Amino acid sequence: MQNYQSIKESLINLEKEIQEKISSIIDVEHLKELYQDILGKKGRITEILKQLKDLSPEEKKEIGIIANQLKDQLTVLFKEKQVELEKKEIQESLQKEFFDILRPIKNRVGRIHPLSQIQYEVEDIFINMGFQIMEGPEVELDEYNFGKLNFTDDHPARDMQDTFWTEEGFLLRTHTSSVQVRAMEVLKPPFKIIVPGRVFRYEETDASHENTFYQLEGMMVDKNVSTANLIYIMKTFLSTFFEKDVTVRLRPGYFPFVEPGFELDIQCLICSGKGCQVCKYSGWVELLPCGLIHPNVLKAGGIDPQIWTGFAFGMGLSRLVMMRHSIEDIRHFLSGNIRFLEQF
Amino acid sequence: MKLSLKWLNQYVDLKDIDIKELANRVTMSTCEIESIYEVFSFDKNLVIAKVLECTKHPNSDKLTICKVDDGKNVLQVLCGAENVKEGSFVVLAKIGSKLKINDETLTIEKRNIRGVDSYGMICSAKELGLDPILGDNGGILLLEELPDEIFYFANKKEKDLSKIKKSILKPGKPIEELFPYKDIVLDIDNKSITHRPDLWGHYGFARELSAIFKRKFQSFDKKPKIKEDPTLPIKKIEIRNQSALAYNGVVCTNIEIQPSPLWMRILLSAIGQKTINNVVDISNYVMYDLGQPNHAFDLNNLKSDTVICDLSKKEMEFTALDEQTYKIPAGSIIIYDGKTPVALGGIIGGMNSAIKSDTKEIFIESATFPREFIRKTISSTGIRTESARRFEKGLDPANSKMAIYRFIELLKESCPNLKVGKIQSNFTVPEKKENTIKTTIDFIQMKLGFPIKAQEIQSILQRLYFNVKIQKNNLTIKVPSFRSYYDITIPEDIVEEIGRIYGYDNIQPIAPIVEIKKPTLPYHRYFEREVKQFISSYGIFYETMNYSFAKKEDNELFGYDGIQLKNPAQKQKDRMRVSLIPGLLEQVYLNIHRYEEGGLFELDKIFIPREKKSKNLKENLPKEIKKLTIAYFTMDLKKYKNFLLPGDDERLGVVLYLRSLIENLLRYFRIEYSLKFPQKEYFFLHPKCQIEIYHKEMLLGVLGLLHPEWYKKYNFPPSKQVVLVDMDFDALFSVWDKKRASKESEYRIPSSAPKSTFDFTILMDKNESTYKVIESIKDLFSEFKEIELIDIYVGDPIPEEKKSVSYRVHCIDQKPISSERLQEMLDTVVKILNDKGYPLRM
Repeated sequence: MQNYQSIKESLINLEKEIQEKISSIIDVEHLKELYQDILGKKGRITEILKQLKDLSPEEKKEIGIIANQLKDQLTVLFKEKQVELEKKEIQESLQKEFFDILRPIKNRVGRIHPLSQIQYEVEDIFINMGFQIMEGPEVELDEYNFGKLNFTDDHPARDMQDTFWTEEGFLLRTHTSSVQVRAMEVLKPPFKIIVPGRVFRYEETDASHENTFYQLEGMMVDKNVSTANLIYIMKTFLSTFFEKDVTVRLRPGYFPFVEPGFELDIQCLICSGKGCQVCKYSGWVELLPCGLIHPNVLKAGGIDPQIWTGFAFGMGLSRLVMMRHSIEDIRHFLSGNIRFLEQF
Repeated sequence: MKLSLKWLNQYVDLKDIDIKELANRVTMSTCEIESIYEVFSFDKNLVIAKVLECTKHPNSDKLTICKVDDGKNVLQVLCGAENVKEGSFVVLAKIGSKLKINDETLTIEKRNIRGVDSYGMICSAKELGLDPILGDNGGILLLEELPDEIFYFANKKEKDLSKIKKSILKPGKPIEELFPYKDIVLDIDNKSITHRPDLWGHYGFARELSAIFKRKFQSFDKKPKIKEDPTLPIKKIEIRNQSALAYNGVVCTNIEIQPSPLWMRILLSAIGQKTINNVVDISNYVMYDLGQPNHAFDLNNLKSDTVICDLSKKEMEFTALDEQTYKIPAGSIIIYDGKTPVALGGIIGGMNSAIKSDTKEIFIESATFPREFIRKTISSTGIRTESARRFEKGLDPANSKMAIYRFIELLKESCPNLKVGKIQSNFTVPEKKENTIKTTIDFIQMKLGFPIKAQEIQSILQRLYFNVKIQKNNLTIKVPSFRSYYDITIPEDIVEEIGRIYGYDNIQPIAPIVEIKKPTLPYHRYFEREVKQFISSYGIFYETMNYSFAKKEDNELFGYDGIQLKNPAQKQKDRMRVSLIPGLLEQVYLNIHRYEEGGLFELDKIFIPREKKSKNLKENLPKEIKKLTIAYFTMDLKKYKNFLLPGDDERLGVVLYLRSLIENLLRYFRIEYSLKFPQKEYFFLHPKCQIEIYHKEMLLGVLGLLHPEWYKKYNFPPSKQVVLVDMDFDALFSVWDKKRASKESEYRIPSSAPKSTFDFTILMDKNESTYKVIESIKDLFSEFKEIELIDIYVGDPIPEEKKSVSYRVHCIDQKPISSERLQEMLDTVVKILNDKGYPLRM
């Protein structure tokens, strides 16, 4: 009986003792030592339980329950203490550590040319409206650049675009409209296409003139295509591109391959039409020559103008890029100057 | 083309219309206006003043100190002109007044010249911009000495000259009262009226304005009364080879060559036309008025009784009245006096028959020439006169007669004793053309996209001088002669006329109703965009663009002469490029001194001429191939040292960096590739540092260090290294496995088995590629995932000319690889390498 009582007491005392010891421990090392000392294979609880052999089965059972409860309690205590101490240790080391994370590092990324960027952006808008991308040659035959576009041989409009000629009698296309008839030759109406690309004009270069620049041609051939449809597509494109409602005006413009032909101007986005340097104080910026496809051009492409109608437009991509970024000189585009290219 | 508002007002009254509104309506309905500006308008501070006293400047021989009365004060003004004199009336620019001289604005300020103050400036005709009208006497304007006509013009009501002078020549009067010539000039963009021959004169333009503004048009519909004198000689007119549509001619005598009337000088000067004498000025005036070019010959120089208009049979020389001699191509229109060429028809007159100061008798020509012949001659000779500019648009022959009447009428004003011969007219086409166009209201409504009413259509067309008949839906339209040549020929032209006068701006946008077609996806563009994105995000690679033009020498290096331009922008770059490399290296040069390192890449076309000529022209166009060319330069080779192993040339690091870019790019797009040493050296690359990239048997491109000689060629500093990659982009695209269709791209169940490796070290020649080992074993076992080069060792105890190279082979399979299998693979590798001359180093 004596024994039973003393064992029970020592277990209870042990609990109190351990609680005090744990609270005074300040690092994980000491906590582990204490744990081995108490709950380890040769720990004090094991030692105490060794004394049970002289007790009755009932007493054994009772002590056993108390001992197990104590073990569980102590395990939780140790676990809690361990978590607390580890947290503390991390906190302490975090206090000491230092990273020079704002140190200057070298920029290691390049850029895509601003003209490509805008070209892809414009393409995406038209692709989403169901247009299809086409391409055509840059060294071209007279017939595709002029002849089949209703520029007869004696047509004074041939001089509207100064042309580079090759010794063989080819030319460098003066507009992406050269792809109109090529497209009609391979596509069956109805269709909607866009043709981005490089064009050439034989002229002196200055801040706003280049002999090599980029255009994007568009064309829609379907039944009953009207001027009202053309305006709709143009306005939809412009408000998407500029991310705001754009005021446009449509006025007559002359191009032999359309009839009627238009110039589509947008209200200057810089001054909202009040007049500024960008719009030359007119309030308007000329942006999109367009029109309904001339029946002669449809015929040249093998399409019956009695059944099919359509519209075409052309826009200066180089111009669009200059507008968006307020670029002062068109000659930067083909300069290869990284100080220019790295900004986009 | 410049138009005077005063001139236009003679035919249509526009005085109450604000000029901005006028310009806006013209822009919205007809054509572009480049600029609007005032001419002969004077600052209020420019006043008439009287010179009271003149004294010599004490410190200058040329300057005179004048005391002038400006109506309020007596001012001290310095004058540099010799003709200044006491008692004269002059134009004084007071302090603060602005003068426009040669497009620059000069503001008059108080000045001190050599110790004497000057409070203004006494003006010359030139300083006032009046010299085209008044002439330039070399000094200041002395108003009291001006010709009488100036004063009569200034006060048209008063007949008594002395009264006019007395009322105008008063100190303090604004000079506008003496020179009431103010006008507004509209400068029309020529390109925007290329298709409107009828608008190339004030008369026709006024007619257009009358339609826009619904105003009455003062036309010359009636033939004026001209007394034809039968005693005057007659020149017969002969048109051969359809070289003219119309030719009218008349002989006039009793000509007095003198300055043309003041009103005409004012109008011609307003639009910038130089004035010469009455005959020449009238000829110009009629052209700018009716848009009908014409010509006056000195009759003394026309010996024959017949004027012949014909096409030249062969190339010839011709001396024009501008004293230049031109080479004229065959097929040009020539006006012959019998057999002597006297004019280049429709373009310029001849030196030999030009009007002189003593000309007494003239022959006036007003003809219409076919535009195709005119165009041919001007594009080959480059003579672009105002006359040719109009004829090349295709003029209406009906206008040619009216011009001759106008010429005679105007001539009478300055030559009261003028005698006019019988007018000879010869037409090879009907005198009036009237196109008939049949269309429907439905068609017009469909094209415009809104239901415009029949009455509206009719009213617009009538305003434009078209004759319209409406029968239910059908329209029968008769086009006036002045718009029947080239201009209005098809129903679509009618749509344009209605649309522009109605105002396109009034059309509401409507979404088109279209069927949804099977989409054609732009894979080529997807690939291009992704490739550009990949490269530019791999490092400091900037996409660039370059001109398509190249030097002959550069093209030849790359194996082709290239397509040659007839009219290159730069003489030395007269070919279409056959490689992107030379242009790219020129751009590298621009940046190489500014940056430690950087890359430029270009993805664009080269132009390879066809060897065989086909009958089908289309097939003779050059082959346009898209290339992807990268140039990378660096000064800091240390950055790439993680690519280096012992014994390496330190330049190798940056080359391997570029190789890693290309290999990663190819892997990213699942393009199967192999690297090979070129069979034939690429001349622009370092002979020891270049490789070719293949897909199976297809060459995709080449990569290597720039040839040392090319550093010199492009003036690159020796401190920088340049690596080049030149890829065939079209080939790359063709092997892009976009749908993962190839066997290599097939999906495999991810293996959960552990990875196994084995290492081996072999001996090889120092200057031999370590790739050779990999090449000979890489396809031995399907388990081989990657063969890694882990170390290179040179030095004792390895023989001098050898290196020891260690490789690690990474193997993976669906199941764990047994040690026996691993040993088997190692043994096979060792045996094969040994046979190839790479003994295992123990």
